[in-house]
Amino acid sequence: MTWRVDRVVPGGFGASWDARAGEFVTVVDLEGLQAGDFIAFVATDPQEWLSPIHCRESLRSIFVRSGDVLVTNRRRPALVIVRDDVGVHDATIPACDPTRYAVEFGVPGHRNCLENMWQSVRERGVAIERMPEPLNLFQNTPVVGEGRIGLTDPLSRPGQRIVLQALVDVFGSLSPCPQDIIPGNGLFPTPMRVVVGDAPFES
Amino acid sequence: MPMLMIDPSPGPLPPEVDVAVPAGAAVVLPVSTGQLLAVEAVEGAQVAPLFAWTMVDAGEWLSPHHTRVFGGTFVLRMGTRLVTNRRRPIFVVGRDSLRRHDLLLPASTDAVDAVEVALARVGLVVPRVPDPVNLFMDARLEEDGTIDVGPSPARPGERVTMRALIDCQVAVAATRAGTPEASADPPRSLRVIVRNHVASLPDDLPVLTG
Repeated sequence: MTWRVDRVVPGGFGASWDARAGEFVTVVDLEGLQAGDFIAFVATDPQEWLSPIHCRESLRSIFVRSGDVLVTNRRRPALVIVRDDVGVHDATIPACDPTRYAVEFGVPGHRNCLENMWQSVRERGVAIERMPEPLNLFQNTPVVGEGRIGLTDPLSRPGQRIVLQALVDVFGSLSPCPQDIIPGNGLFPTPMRVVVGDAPFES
Repeated sequence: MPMLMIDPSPGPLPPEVDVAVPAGAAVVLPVSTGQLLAVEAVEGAQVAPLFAWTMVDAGEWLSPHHTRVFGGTFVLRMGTRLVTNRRRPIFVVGRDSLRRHDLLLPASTDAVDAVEVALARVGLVVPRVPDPVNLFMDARLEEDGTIDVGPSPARPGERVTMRALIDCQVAVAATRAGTPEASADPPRSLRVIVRNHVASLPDDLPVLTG
């Protein structure tokens, strides 16, 4: 099998990918304990994107599971989860961005998912103000007592993966999150691999 | 500025506003730093999606997503700081007779369309109608992540009041909600009240319990 896209994305950096309708996007957490911010746009119109808030509405849940159809901001199907080794992902936390580090932790100049992802898709005509909220693969954000957000590390072990099948032509980005200050990536960002082809990536 | 400053700024206080939001429509209005922004479900049972853009940069907007992370909470409560997409507090919930709102669900197409019409009416150009804070929306989050959506429990005259911390343009829509379970059908009117002093706001209803 040859793969149309096969990229190892260093921890804390971003890379683009694209998939035609029917193709499979496999994201592998190579070393485990790593969350990957994942966005997708409809190829024919980047004003339509995979939208976690609309997924929450259609699924009536803040979590996504194997078999779930993920929808766009126009409430149309975009991707379906066909394999999920971990079963714990986050669909509520916005991408870390310059102000996440500068304002909330007093650390200007930190690498961040928003700029990682935007730099990898901007040449397709995406304005930074029109970047969607991400689906955070493997990120572990439980609801703890009285609606508080639990921040803890992913449950993913080395080599575990999630496979999404594209239902329309899409392009997107993956950013293995650079957050190394609070729990979320085991305090040490590590690489992920994104593979696109006619079948789920196995190895 | 209508807050208790060490060096009060000279000059008149910003204008107070009282705007009806007709059923099916949206309004856009300016709110100044320090003012009290109150949204009222005049007839009850109506979800009120709230949007805001800062006056100096429409690329900075009220964000329910950043609000959740900033407060470490999926739920809007008394004292919750509502923040922008640049993590700056723009409103703080100070009075709330209902205490049931939503930070997780999108605006309906109707709401977005109504806000775009209202923005065009005042000549305001924004890069995006962002996701709203859904005042008076009953969307209960269970520990397994399930969102249970029900009809808005807002009583006629239900009101939530926030202190504004950044000069901004605010939009409120009185349209169908994104989820049919939460929608008043047909939609009902709302009222937006901006005041400089808490004493000039009407009394709240007693806090809803249960």
